Amino acid sequence: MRPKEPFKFVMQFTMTALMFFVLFCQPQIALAQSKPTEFDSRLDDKGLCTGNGQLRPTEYCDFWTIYRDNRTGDANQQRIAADARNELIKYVRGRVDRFYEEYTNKKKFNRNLLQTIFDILEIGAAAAIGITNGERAKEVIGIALGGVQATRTSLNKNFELLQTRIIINKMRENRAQVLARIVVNMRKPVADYSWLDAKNDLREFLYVGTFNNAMDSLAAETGDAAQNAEQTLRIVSNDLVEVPETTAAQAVMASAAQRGLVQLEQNLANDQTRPEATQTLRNILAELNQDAELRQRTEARGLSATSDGAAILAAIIGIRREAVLAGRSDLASRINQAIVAVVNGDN
Amino acid sequence: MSETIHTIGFPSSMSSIKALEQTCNTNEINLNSKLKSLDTVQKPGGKKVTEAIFVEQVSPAGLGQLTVRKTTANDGATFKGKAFILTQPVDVSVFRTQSM
Repeated sequence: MRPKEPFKFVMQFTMTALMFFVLFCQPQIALAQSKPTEFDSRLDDKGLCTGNGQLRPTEYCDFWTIYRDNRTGDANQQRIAADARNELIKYVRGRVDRFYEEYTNKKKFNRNLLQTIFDILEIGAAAAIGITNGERAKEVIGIALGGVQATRTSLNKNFELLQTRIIINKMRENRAQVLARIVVNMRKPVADYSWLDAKNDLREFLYVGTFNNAMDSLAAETGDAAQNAEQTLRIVSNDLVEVPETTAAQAVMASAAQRGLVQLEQNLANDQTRPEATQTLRNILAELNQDAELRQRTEARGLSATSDGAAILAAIIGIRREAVLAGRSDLASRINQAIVAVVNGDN
Repeated sequence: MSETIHTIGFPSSMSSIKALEQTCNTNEINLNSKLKSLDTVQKPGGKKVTEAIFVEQVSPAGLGQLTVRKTTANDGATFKGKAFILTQPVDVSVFRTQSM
């Protein structure tokens, strides 16, 4: 019986170490994680912040009360409500961030815990083989050790560290996208972006920070990518006109020209501003006519220095459109340049 | 009255979604037409292009104010389409912001 005692000691030591690990480490992490109360599906803000509401007294309820009392008031009150809404967003965002940290930490901890348990089991079994004398006992422990190692290999294969990292990265990407949307909306008045809109976005911000959501999102994206790769593209005519990528400068110029034309159109509709608008359009026509290629096109449309303002406006828009459809985006850019030069009074 | 449709192609080498947004907005203005759809297509010779279909407008007001983003679920886009970005097909969502 003597040779069995060291073996028993090793096994007892291994099991004790395992129990300590599981009992003292796991609950601390598990306890910390709970979904923020603000997203309790059974209660709305009124339920949470009035009577014996779960969130009374908290800053959340203070901001919510300010928001509720000012949301439908005058312009000044609506500004106060927008401030309160933004404070509520920051408050809940902090809670969601904390939930996310605890959630991801728990996932990482569980992985590390599992690996440590396997380490303890393997080391214990290897030590027991070294200490035990009986051949049969060594054989049995050896088989058991082989089983533990095979299980570990299988688990590692299915839940590799890299895969976990990818999923966490996906969660970070999704969270950043939702947060960017929320931050942009924080500039809007409460009439366009209410606290309930913000709360729905924050709820999405909470859910995109979970493993299941990230897995779904990855599955959907990879599915779409595969579909895109396999998709047979529709064949179109060779006549399809290709337009080059617009540069930032061209885009700014087009936008400025657009604002000018919209203003001129409005001024033409008003008896008082029509003469000035007509004169500006005639100036634009004169500017266009300095370009030989554009002059051909304005003359083809029968435009002259005495043409009606509305006719000039319609012709400019028509010439610019024809230029693009003929694959001459450069001409369209020159027209925009002429419009901006005149409207901005550079000439 | 039937709509007047204009179809043009954007190069598959489009450098980014932001560049696609600029190109869509500039062409809305230059064509005086509203962008209706974006799709990935191929010419008979095999050349890939992004097909953009526009609907002609009478007034220039409200054009050139599009935001283009990579599609996400339930993003409330005005319309969804596909476009080549750096020669790769990408699902995009197009949003029309408030008119001027």
